[in-house]
Amino acid sequence: MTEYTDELNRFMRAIVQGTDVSPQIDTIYQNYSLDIAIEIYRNNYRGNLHDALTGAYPVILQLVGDEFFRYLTRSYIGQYPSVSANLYHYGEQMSVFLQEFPPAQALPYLPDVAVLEWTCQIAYFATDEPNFALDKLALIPAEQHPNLILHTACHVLRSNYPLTAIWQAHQPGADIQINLASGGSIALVSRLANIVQVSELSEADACWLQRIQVRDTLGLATEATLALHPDFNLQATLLALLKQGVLTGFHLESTS
Amino acid sequence: MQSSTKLIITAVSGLLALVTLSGTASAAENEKCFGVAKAGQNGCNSNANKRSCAGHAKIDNGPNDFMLTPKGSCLKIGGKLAPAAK
Repeated sequence: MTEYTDELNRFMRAIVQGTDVSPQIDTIYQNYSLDIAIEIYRNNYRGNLHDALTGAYPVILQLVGDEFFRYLTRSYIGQYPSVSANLYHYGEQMSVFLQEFPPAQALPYLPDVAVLEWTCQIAYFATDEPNFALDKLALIPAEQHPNLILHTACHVLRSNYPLTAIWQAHQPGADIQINLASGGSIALVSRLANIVQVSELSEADACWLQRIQVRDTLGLATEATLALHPDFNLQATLLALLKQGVLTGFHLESTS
Repeated sequence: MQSSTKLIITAVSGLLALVTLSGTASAAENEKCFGVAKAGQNGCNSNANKRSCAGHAKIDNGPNDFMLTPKGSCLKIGGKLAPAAK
């Protein structure tokens, strides 16, 4: 049994790292040598993972072009073997990889784009959340509104680069007009029906939303945000987030 | 506390009123089925035909120098890059 496991591991290394296969392996094909058979197997392995990465990182593909992306994925695939039977799980370490990948150092925003694209991947496959029950909210007495704890389905990402603009500029039909010098960005990732959306959050909205995400009451989150950002517009923010599918439900704080 | 309480009540009530008027309760119409693939992909077999051809390549192409230079839309993004550029 151990011997069998050893053989499997050796085979895996041959495919992933290109080391020699076991002399005990034999091919049943007349026209293929063992080396060619292994090479075909390896190319299929890489090809499938390359396609998985292409699906997960379409913006990075556009940013760097086909050839560079192919080289990039080949390096990634050599470094990070696939560990899930589900190919949609493959590619999670892309951001970490890009931070270290020497040819990508001229594009310092690339790791942040990778984080954003992986977050979109997670959002795409996340379990459906219920629609916000406005009819039930209407039953809550007004004086209880500050005690509401809102439920959300979204991700907030901060970047030192214009991350939201970079992502939006690479969606179908968009025209690429980005100035890296335009500064940082707070990206909101949400999903409405089956469409993952990335939109820009203001500092005030991000401040409020991040407190809501950690389940501060509506009262506490709003007060704290107003203290820092006096121009925070709660009503506009609530409506915008509701329309984007970010708000999914609520409950009342039990102790007040 | 008083002023923010009032503001919150106004905002939430306003939200309820607005949504009732426009008739668009949170617009999510979920028609997603289990097993639906991401757009443009069809699981691990999406490129089965193309791939099995590509897989038959006997030569393991190593990276060429031109592969090491990004040539995509990053070239159109203005502003300063890292000092290491060039």
